[in-house]
Amino acid sequence: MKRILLAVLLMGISLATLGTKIEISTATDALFPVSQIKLPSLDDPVSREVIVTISHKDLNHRNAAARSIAAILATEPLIEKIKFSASAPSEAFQTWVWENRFHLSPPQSTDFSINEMAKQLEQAVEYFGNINSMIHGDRFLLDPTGSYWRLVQALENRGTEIQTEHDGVWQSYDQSAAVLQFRLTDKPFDATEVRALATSIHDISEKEGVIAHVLGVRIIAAETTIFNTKSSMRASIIASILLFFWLIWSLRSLTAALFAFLPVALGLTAAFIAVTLIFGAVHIVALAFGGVLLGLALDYPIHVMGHPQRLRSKAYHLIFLGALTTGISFLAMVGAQIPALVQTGVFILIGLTISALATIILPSPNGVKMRGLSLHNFTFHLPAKPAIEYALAGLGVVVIVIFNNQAPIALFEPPQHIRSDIQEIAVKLNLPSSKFAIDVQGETLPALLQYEKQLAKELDKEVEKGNLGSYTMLAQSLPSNTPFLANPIAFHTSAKAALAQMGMSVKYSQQQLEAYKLALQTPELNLSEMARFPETADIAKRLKITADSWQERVQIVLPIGAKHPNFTVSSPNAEMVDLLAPIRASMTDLQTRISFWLTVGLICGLGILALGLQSWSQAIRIFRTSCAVLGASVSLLVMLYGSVSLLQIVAMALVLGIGVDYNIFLASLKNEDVGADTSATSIYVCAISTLIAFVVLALSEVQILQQIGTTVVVGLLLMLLLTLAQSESAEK
Amino acid sequence: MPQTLEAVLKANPRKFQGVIPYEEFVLHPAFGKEVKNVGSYVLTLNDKLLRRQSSPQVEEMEIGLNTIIIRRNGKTVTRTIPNRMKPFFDLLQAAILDRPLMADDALQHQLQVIPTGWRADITLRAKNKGMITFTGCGRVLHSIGLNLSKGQERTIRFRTQ
Repeated sequence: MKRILLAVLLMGISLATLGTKIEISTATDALFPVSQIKLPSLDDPVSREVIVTISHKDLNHRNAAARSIAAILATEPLIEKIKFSASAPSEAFQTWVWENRFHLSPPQSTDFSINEMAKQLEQAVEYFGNINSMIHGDRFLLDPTGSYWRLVQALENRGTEIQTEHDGVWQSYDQSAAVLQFRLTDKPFDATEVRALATSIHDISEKEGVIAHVLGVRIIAAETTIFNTKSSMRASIIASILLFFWLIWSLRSLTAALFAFLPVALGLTAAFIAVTLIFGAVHIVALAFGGVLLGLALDYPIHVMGHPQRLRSKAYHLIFLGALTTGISFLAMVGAQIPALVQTGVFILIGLTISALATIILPSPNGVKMRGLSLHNFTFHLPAKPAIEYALAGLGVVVIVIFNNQAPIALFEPPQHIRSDIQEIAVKLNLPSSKFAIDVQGETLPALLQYEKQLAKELDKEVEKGNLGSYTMLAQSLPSNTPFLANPIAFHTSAKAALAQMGMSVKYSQQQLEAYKLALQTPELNLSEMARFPETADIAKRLKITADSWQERVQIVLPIGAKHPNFTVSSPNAEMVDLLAPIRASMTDLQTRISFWLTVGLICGLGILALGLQSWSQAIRIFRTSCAVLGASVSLLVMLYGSVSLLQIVAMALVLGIGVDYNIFLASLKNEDVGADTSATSIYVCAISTLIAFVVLALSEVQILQQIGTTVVVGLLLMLLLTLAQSESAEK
Repeated sequence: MPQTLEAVLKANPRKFQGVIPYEEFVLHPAFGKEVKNVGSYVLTLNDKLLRRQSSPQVEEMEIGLNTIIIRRNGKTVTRTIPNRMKPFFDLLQAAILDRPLMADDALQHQLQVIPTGWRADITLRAKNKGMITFTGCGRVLHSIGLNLSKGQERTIRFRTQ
């Protein structure tokens, strides 16, 4: 009793002192090997952007509501900046456009003819009758090539095409909603805080009589995190309650049921604290698999209670062997160099070892008369069991090689209402496809624009056919032509003649010449310059500039409901790109790594098992059965889901862990005369406990838990079936 | 004649049923002749200044503190007021709306008597921002002109009828 009190006290002190430091992390980059793939972080400025659509059929009502909501949100401390209409281009941007006019919209040879220059001058003079002339000053006069004129016109026209405004408020693409944009303040992501903000936007909108849809990376992350946390918590509570009542019923004792949870609680506490101290936070994947400890480590005290006092030392040995085998199999995942799985390996090894040690050290209640079936009595004869097991293992390999499809890449699905919001906003704002784009490449910017013009013709036809919604490319904002820059002397001569032709002051050509020379000296465009202006930041994101090439990723909007483009592109230097391909390749690589390291772990576990059992043949028999269960489980999962996901592969390791435990427990019963029935019943209680925990997970709304639950339930049932099946040689 | 810059800015153009008709003359060293724009300034109920141009192009400009909103052919465009034009717009609003001058508009000025009344040349301290000229008679403002560097001029004459 003293030891139990001491253990409870130790756990309490540990949780009181270090419990507050335990943090749960949902960082997606922890799911990829270091430096393999760059995923956007929640701290990136882009991740702090939020879009809100305010829907109401009456334009004036929604505009008034948008203004009112913006005014309220402007006072929110979590919001840095809110906008509902376009900001005026800054003076710095206008000067940059002026200085870079020959890079952005170079003139062509005909622009240097006297007549063309005279036309441009006439146009520029007339422009002084336009209020805009106060802004652009006399720049149109200074550039008689028309380069700056064409550039300004093109940028202005494109600007109004992309985003329409009514009464100073942005409108959605389908003209059904007003649009607000804001940026969250630069502070660490807090899911509860962000979710509260989203809820308050919905509440305010409801009061204003409009419907709001809120979308942003942090909004999705907050909703997903809270949904997953709540659902996981609910699943854990349901599983714990069911297990508790199951144990009270089957152990016929409240004390024994409570005791069964103690080693698990100690194991979990130790695992949480160790992972927090080593890694700084516990990743949600480690946590999900860590919950499995509940299913595995709960078996240890039950199994010990099923043994009479004199046979317990043997049970202790087997429990420790089982924990070590499973723990080492998981620890091998450290080799995969995936931060979340490295944590999982450490979490499970520490959790299982501490649970096993606690089971051994703490005094288990004696004389527990378990209620249930003795699995011992359910063994059955299976002719040619080894051959069947080899066939099942082989079947798994064949199914994986031939029938396994690419598993979905999303590990954490957002909740349904967020998925609906994403779809709704994608349609309203005509958001480009996040899965497909078209890469176009040219040696220079003018060459790129020429290729884009050809591609635009092709895409316009697809738009007409209904295969494409719309597209966004640089050629829509920048005029394209065959660039030509005359030498300054030739320019000056033409400029003078054009001024004279227009009856203007020829002396002014000197100022034009100075401006021309300055523009010729402007350094080449670079992306960092473009990225610093809000007006060109989006364009910069689509561009890749190297010493000898310009590449743009043209965004496409697929028709509503289309998952893939229904067309191909044949324009020169243009190529349809599957944007998710690199992530998919990473996932495949990840699966290969995990499978490899789990196999390594399995072999290590086999070695430990052989040493522990002091019998290679027994270890190989268990290993063979485990491989058969893996093969059959994989085949069933591929039949059910069409593919085996990353998490299902990791969950297979749990099946192995559980299988190894049951195999060694059942095998040990053959040598026991007294108490063998109770011990066999304890395995039944353990198996049902594990099934309860994982059936609850399989029914969870959280995809990650569902996958782990289904895999373990399928695997566990198969494992029980094959463990109870006896070959002729075993029976003899 | 006004004795101080504040007094100059208190001079207002004549209003006709709430509107102030104007003619704007733009001169540029490159031009052979000046460009003439015609329209009227209107004070809105919410104290904003609108410039409604009727010729040669029909368009409207709403003048804000740092931006102007231009409406033409059913399209609305917002533009930032460039630094070189900022004092001009500030003084224009100060004169028409009777607004006090902003602290950063602290300027040097010279007042003189001319045959039609008075003239105030307001030199902008910052380089290359040119000079703003107010002309008037008594408390009536006749014109506001902006002389930019390199010989560019823009003069708004408030019409008397």
